[in-house]
Amino acid sequence: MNQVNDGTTAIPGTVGGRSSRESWWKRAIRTRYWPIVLALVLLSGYFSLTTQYFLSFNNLVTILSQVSVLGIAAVGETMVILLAGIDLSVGAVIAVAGVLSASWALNGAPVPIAMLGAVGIGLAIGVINGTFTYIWRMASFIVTLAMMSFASGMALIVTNGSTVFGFPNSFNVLGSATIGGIPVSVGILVLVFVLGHLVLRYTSFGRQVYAVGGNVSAARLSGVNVVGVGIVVFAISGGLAGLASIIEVGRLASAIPIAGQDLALSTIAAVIIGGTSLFGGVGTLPGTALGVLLIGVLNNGLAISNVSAFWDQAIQGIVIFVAVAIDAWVQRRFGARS
Amino acid sequence: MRRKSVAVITSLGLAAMMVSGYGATPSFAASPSHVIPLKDITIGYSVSTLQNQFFVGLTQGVEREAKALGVHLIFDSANGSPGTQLNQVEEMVSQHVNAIILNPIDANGITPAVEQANRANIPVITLDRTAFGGKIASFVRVSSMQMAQAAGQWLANQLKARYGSYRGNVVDLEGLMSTSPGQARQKGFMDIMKKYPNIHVVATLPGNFDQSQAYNMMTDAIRANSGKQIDGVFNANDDNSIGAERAIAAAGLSYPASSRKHIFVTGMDGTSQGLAAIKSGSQDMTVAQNPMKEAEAAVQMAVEKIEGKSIPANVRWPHMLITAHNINSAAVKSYGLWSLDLNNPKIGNIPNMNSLPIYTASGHVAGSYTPLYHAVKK
Repeated sequence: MNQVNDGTTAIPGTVGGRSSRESWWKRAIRTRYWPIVLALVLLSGYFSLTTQYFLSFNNLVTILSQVSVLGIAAVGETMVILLAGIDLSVGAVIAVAGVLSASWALNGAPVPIAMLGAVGIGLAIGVINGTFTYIWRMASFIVTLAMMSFASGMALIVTNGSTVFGFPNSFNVLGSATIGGIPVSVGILVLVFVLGHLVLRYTSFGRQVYAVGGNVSAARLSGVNVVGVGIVVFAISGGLAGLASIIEVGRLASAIPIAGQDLALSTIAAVIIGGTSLFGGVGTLPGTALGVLLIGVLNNGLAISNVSAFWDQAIQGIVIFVAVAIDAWVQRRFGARS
Repeated sequence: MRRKSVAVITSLGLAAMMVSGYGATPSFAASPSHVIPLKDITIGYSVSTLQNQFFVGLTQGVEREAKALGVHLIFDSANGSPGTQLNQVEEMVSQHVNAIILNPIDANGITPAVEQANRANIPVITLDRTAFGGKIASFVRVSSMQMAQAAGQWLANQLKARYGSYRGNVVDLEGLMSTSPGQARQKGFMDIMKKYPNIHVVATLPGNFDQSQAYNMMTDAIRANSGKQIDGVFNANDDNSIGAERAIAAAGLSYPASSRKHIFVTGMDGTSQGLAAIKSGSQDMTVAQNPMKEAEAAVQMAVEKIEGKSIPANVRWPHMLITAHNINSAAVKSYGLWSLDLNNPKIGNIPNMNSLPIYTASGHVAGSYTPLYHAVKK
């Protein structure tokens, strides 16, 4: 593995000694977030100059609700990538869990049961992914690629390609309801990020995730249950995708069999933009939050300033590339010192 | 399954006889020069994708008609990949099918396969989209551009009724601009908007035929125009419109159609969800097409062609404007609401070939095409 992951710097608790006494923002600036923060600030500055509505509380809330599905899925994806794995099935889970739970609700199942069902489908898929990755030792890329294909197919099979709609409106609570002007989906997004951050940073499970991702053999030798950690992490990723599916369905009051098609790549992009290493062991959820925000701000700002659809995609590519390129340069240049 | 198909065949056979007016005496059967028995006919069908209700409708139309006529069908979905589709059509050619019904993903990319079929003397009928090269026996479709023009004109008329002149602010939620329907619909809508300089298109955003994307884009459009009244939204299909309606409702801008603040929402294609939205009042109209009937016509024409008859080279299936006022009317019923018939095994296919309009390139009706089936022996 590369030298950053030598088992000590990778684990936040051990970097801690000195840095945990500093406030979080100082640490953020001193470590690796500033290129992304800079990109966010520059973009927000630009968009608020071009359209007066960009920089408003309401629009911020809008951005957060627009990225709620992406963000919740990205929390699970971060944990998987911390293990040096990848989960390509998150988007397909959103599709299949969404259409199945919505059609249960449509056919008279109590709404809370149907919602739990969505999370349950995600958990089950995650456990299968984790089992085949860690017990059968198959590459997670292939396991989850196959699962993505299977789950997308199932979503189309059970619906015959049609959208499911007309289920009770209470199913849409997580996706559409607001409490005091704040969408429930934003509340769930924040909650998932905070809980995930606490788990990764302050629990022994979190430390085990970093240990396994940093060096599997070392982790195994020091008594970490690698298989258990792996399966739990994939289950979390699947379960969170199941939760996100309820929000996705609720936003539109429709369950669409092809929902979430490009979501896997977007979540991986958000995680990597946020500084998590594809080689495992390095990365944090606040970083992922920045990555998710960058994607959300780009989408929203480009839409509000009425840029043509084709430029939209090209500009997104450029911004993401430049942000990550600067990040890589900073790491190469100054990474060894910190 | 088997019993159902027998029922379908019987009903279609009866209807076909009524249509062609020969009653129970098949006196015409002797005249054709060469007739291939239907059971010996194999038709290849390649659809671009099945990840959209519309193409499921096309496919069900093809399957039903093939079953009703008793011809064999080799059916492949290209799953959105032009390369896969090329391979599939090449395989159909090498299997010597009698005709190919093609719903191409890419009009240029499929041309080599069409040329291969031409060399093997296999007639190719294109459905919904066509190929730019090779010889096409017939192209059956509803014009996306004309549909968009109809929706744009309807929207303009509502604004005229509201303000006394053609003015107001509208949002344009485009379809997926990398597809030909996406481009044609955008062009059709803008053609109409160019006629009315005082109708301002305040935002043109990619809805991408995707409810979630359309929801986000409409939310942003409302935010970006929060100073002014938005009078209407043009949607490139019924998925865009559903997303737009959710965004309008979430922004607290849902007003009844009688209110001057009402945002007119147009749709396109006539999906079951779009029709339900029209009934509930959240959507004002949709320009429906009928992929099932189009597809049935394509199969019928393929059989005609195989039997040595001449078929029209250009079939523009008419579209139908559906609003809350006419959704239950006889006219709409006879046009057919394909999305409600989808996945409904009780509904057989509807004979539709008694007066198939033939359009000229400029869109005028040049006559009608009637003599189908008359010599085909079951």
